[in-house]
Amino acid sequence: MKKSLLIDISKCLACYSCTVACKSANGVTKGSFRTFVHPYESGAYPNVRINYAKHFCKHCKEPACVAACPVQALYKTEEGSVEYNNKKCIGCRYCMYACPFSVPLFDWHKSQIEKPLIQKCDFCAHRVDGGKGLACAQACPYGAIMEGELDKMLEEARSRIQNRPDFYIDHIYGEKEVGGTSVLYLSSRPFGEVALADVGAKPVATRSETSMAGMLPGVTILALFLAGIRWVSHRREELSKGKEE
Amino acid sequence: MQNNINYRSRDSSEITYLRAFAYRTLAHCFIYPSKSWISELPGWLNTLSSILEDFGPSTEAVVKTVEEIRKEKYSLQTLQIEYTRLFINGAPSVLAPPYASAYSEERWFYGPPAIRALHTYQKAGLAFSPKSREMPDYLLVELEFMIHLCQNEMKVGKSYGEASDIREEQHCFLTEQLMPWVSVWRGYVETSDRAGFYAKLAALINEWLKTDAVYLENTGERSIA
Amino acid sequence: MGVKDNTLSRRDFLKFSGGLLASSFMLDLDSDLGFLVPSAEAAAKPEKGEKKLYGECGICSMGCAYIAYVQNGRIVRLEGNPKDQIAEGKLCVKGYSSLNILYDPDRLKYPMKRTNPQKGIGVDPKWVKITWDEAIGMVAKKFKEVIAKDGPQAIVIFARGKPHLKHFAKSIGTPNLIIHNSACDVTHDIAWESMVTGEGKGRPFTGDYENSRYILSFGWDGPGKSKNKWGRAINNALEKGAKLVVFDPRLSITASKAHEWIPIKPGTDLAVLLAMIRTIINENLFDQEFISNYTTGFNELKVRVQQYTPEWAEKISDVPAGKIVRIAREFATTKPAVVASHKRDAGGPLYSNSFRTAQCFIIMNTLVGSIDRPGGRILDRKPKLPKEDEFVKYPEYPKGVKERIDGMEKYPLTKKGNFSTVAQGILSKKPYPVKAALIWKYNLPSFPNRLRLEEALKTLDFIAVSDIYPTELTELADVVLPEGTFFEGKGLKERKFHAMYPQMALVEGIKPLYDTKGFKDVLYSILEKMGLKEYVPDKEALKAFSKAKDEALGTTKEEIRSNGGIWTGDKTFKPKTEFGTPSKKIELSPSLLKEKGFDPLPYWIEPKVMPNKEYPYRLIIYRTPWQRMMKTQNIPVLMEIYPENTVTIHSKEAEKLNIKEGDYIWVESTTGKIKVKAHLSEGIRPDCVAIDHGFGHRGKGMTVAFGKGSNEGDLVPDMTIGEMLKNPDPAANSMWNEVVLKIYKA
Repeated sequence: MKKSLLIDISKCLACYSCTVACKSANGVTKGSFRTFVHPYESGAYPNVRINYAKHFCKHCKEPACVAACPVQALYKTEEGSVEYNNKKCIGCRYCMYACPFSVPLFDWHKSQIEKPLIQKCDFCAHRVDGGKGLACAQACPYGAIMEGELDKMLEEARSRIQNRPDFYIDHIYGEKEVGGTSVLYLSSRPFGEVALADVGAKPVATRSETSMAGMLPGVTILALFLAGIRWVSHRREELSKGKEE
Repeated sequence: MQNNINYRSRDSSEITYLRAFAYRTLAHCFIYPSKSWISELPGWLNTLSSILEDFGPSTEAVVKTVEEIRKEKYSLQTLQIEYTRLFINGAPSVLAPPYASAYSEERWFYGPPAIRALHTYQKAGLAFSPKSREMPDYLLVELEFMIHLCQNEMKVGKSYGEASDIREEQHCFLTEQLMPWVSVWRGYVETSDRAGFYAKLAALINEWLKTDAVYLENTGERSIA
Repeated sequence: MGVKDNTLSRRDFLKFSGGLLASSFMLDLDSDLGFLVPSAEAAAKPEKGEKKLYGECGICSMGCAYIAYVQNGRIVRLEGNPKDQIAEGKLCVKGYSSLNILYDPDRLKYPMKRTNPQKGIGVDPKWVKITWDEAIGMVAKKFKEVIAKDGPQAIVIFARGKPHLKHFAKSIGTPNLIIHNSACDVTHDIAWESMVTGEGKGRPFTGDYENSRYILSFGWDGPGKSKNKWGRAINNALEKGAKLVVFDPRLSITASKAHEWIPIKPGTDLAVLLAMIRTIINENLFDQEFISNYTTGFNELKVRVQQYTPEWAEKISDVPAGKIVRIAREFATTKPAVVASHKRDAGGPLYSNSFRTAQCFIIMNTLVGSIDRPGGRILDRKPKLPKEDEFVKYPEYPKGVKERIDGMEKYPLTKKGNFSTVAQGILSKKPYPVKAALIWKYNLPSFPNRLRLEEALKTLDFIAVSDIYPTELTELADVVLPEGTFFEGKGLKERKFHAMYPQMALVEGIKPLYDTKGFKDVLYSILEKMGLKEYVPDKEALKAFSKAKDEALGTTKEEIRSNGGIWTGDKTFKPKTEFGTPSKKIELSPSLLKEKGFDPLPYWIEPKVMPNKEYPYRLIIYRTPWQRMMKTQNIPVLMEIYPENTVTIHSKEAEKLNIKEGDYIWVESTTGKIKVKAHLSEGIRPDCVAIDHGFGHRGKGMTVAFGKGSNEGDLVPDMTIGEMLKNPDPAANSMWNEVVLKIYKA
């Protein structure tokens, strides 16, 4: 069974229940968020609109972060979620650069006092408040976040568009984006207005170095530079392993 | 190293009784000051130094602190104001709340340290009295728990295995629950106390916990040996 | 011999202890410890599973029923109760994070008294902990002294208008119970009472918006204030094809979902409404059957509104006449249609014309037959329960003076007190001097121009404050009476303001964390200590009352518990055909207003203030979804989301003033000035600036809230009763938005 979330942007009332519920369910450090709602203004007075969209990990089918992670701290599960193992993380932050949605956040506070920590939605894989299921979907008072099996959510999204064709944009964001994601968005306004950019249908990565270069031609040099760092750090790690042995 | 408690010279259960009494006295010193409390205070302090002196040279520092407290005269109102301000509610804000949770990562009361403490009490067959309006990680509750453990040790008497199990329990609670936060708390009290009494008392409690931990460690080592 | 009498020598001690090793005599724990007791039950094993506790959220007046999950005596998680028609299985952002209030280290924990005679914000009161006996004794003694010397009217009580508070004020004989409703719902209250529900019966908050097909809002932003039920209702209505039109100077969250956002000039909604009413009447678009069967005064209304043409309204409001007419027609011809409303919308206590605006909301809803009809505004549907006064009897109350310190005796319809006039009343010592105050859970920033109230309160001899938090107001208190949170109370709560059918929610509190006391108990204890035992309810009578309530519901708390924490009455909706007015009809030209000497029909007056050269902007106060007034600012996670409030300025205006996003700017009125962070937006009228409420705490005891953001109430003038009387408003509302401002970079 593939886990999935359907976000209907037209129903979001910017209340931040999801943000608060996520933090307490997952014990997210003060100052860090795994999901946040942003307002997006478009147009000019008096023909102006504000839309609110919740941003968080999209749980890509072929996640660039997983491909980029040199130590397999990030991994894709059978249920479709991208999870994270803090014990393996070395704090290289490749995932942050690789993610086409700029999702993973480096938890500076925890990383300083304990060990490197990336904050990112893991579909509530390790809830600390005793609850089960996805905290944001359970908390949302307005039906803007729906939790369910991926095929069912796609079906639901299609039928919503069908029922109100003049209201919704005829596009399910996440169905095809970067090869498909487990998080689907519906909107009555162009997705570009709520920072859900046109990222193309091709998966970002199977190997992070090349795909990053292909995905973002403008930052090829940066990608190569990062790849270099990665090589060096791998090398260092190998060397230090050698020493320990 | 403060490892020279003079336990070899005395029956271990007698020491346990003295230790329990030390905890009892310290707890009493920490209750909210009242008229009768302040008139009894010298008596409690006298007894405390008698007990401590008898422990041997390692308690010198502790005894000295007791003596320092004893020498001073405190006005009841000053102590009440300081107590309220440091430990309950104060202006600008409560400065050194005597709860373990206040010194854990979360800002909440009744946090993980409180739940850990409650678990430990329950394992030892104790429940929260329905009358009490405090949280499980309140300083006095944790000190009281140490007294209960000492009493349990006295009850099993010379049954060697059981007694050392209980001592292990005491050592565990002391080093894992009480000491980590009391040492931090003591710092807050010391920098904020204007009357002097609570700074010294917090230091005293902290010193005593350290001394007692060393004692328990040593008896533990002995039992292994 | 013993430790306590200081006679125990070391030798004695050792001898003694040696003989009594296992005894607990010397280790007597009961006297000041005794927190832990042996328990057979506990010994079994530590509690692992979760326990469910039912309760009602106390953050806002919606009162969503919750289920709390308890582990080891600590609530770990909250959910909305799915059986509750208001919660529908969900809470809001404030509800979800309210555990932070329960476990907040800053909470008031024990009764305290001040030992520092010098009083002021930021001046250490030098609290000392006292017992409840002592605290109650101090209040009672002081009140008795004041009554003997200056009369009972010299005691002012600031508190919500709960029955036991009214009773307390009457028992001690003071007319001065100051309720916050001049800053809350007073205009709606009096409009509904005079037109629909009857004197003293209050207003409904309920709206069946989910089933409306056409929803009009004049500054109403229920969905944008985390009023969950309404957020869901609006979402669902829109999904079913309803049209939503919002008149608001600011693009509110509700407006962001609307088909049309009309940035109306603030405080001119009445003009648009009058023109709409005229259109609907003159074009015969009203519900003829509803008007003829259930209303009076239609013809008088028709005559009155003739002068208010859409063209006239356009000049006043900036809304094109054509748009006014079109929306009026759509509203009247799309059924069911409703004007949604709550408290601080255009009909709330914001403008000179607000009372008449509130009246027009009801007229509009009546014209389309939407009072107590599906898709319209719904009157209260409370369970039929016995009343306390049928069981508990008191002797006659003492007769005291009628004049109030806030001058509200001059207003025959609102006697609930006035937040705008009370401070100047106290300072002027007219009609009499005030000596003591008892304050329950109000804070200074809840008042317009808090500095004046602070000054007034400092002139008193004695102040007792009951609250959960050490607010800035408690810094002025002589005695602090700590109250518990809504998690620590017990009972059976009526679904009050938002119920389509009768329901009761079971409230099972956790054991109080501190030595707190409910304010009701505090009041009865004070009465008893004052020697007014005859006004303390008899325990047996209360028991009988409670039993009668259970009988009326036909159930017990245990049964409600096993049914998921909610008792539900008859769900069938029977539209009301009789109303609470003297004529039993909806009075469009209310007899109550006539009788009390007010014009019964709505009419337009010029706003109290207009932007001018020196003060070119108007103040708009709004509320965010994630803060509930001054109540939730000490919750860390909410401050993480939004660390301080902002002033929203139109982008073009900001450009003119060289203000950039995030700049700190001064916002200044004739009353005061505050420094706030700027937020630029196209979603606001260029002649307005909007500030969200709840920030600007000065009490350092609230360590998270302290010093964050600013309080927009510092810009709002308070008034003398004479100034208040200049506005011909039967409701004496506080006019929070009748403020003009200048802004400049800090």
